[in-house]
Amino acid sequence: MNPQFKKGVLELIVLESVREKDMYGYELVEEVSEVIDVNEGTIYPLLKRLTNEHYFETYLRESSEGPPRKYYHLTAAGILYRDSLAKEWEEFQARVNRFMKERQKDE
Amino acid sequence: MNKVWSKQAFLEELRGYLIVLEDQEQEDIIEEYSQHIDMKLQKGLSEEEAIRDFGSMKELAAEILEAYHVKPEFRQQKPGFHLQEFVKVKTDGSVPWFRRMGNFLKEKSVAAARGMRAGFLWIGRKCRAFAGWLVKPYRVYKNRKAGEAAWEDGEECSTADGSGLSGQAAGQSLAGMQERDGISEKSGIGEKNGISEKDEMHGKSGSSGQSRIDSRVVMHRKEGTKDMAGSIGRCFRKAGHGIMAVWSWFFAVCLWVLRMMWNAAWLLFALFCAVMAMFVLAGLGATLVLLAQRYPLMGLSLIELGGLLCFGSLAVWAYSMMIRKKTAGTKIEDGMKITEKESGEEVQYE
Repeated sequence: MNPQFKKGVLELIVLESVREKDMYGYELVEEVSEVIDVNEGTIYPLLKRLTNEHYFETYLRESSEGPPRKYYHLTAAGILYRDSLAKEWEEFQARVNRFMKERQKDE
Repeated sequence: MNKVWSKQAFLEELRGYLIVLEDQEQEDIIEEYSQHIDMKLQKGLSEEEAIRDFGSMKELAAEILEAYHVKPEFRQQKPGFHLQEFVKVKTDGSVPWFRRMGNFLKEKSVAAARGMRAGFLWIGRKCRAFAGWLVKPYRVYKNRKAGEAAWEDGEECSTADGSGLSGQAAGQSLAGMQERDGISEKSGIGEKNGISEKDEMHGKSGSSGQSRIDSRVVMHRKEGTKDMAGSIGRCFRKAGHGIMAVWSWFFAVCLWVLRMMWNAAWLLFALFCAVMAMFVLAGLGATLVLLAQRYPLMGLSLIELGGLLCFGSLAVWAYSMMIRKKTAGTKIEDGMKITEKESGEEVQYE
């Protein structure tokens, strides 16, 4: 997939992944990797940025498999931001699809 | 070709790129990547495979720094000078060349600053000693005058009540008595037995409690009239007093002239700045009118505004540099004058 496409939609996928339940970093990376093939290293900076912008909040939870894990929780601001991104994505996708279909009809 | 990393080396290298961040943030990031690698290792991957998925170290570091809103020059690799390389900590324990240079400069600058401080302190001590040497004759003269005034006060007290010596007169110093000899000599040398009118008045009072110090003064004066060497010495002493008075007057005049010159220079500078500020203000007004008529004079307006602030502040600063007499000092001086008037003595050095 075009890396520019990935970059544009990555934020939405991450927000959507955490909307259902709180997740820790590695778990989130795996979740996102199932959707798009993405460099694992780029997820953590994105999580940090979204946390700095108060769309995520973090907390530590003990783990039986090792040291405590940092969990990410979507805040109210994060939910609103996710909704606006999803809406934009829908509109964008619909326009592109309509344009592509119209072109295909012309051919 | 991608470098083969061990977990430890990867984390150390990453830490080196993140050195511009706070320590706590660095720890958070390193901890998160460390956990990520550990989880991959638990799934059976090797360290090399686990780290390979992070991609290029520079790109990864750049993305992390971007998330922290770090300035572009800290995260972009530019040809020539690479700041990331510059700030990166060496993992083999050796001290980078720029740190050695920095430490060397730091040590030398601290040593130079200490040397300059010691030099300035030495110069300050010498200047103070020189100033003390200059002012010493004036101080000596002033102290002697004060001693004379105190002696006069003590004598007046003892003659007024006629009951003998006051505590102040009893504590009169020999130097004060000698000075008194010099004063009485005007009338004493030519008089019979060298006894002054005041001494006679003391005698007439007939007080049995006449002070011993008065008799000592009389005896001393009698000896003084007989001793020509003592007279010559007193002449020299009087001449010394005169020289001291002239010197103190000269010193005060010099100080006054210096203060006037200093104030005049600052006043001229303040006036110049004030006039310039007025001109700039007038220019600014005209430019603002033209600017309102949509002439492209925004840059000139800003320059004139800056000039106005600059000249205005310079004028205020120059005015504040002028030396003025302190109010408290004036009060003290007034108090001194009152005291001196009360003692009935005219002070020449004021």
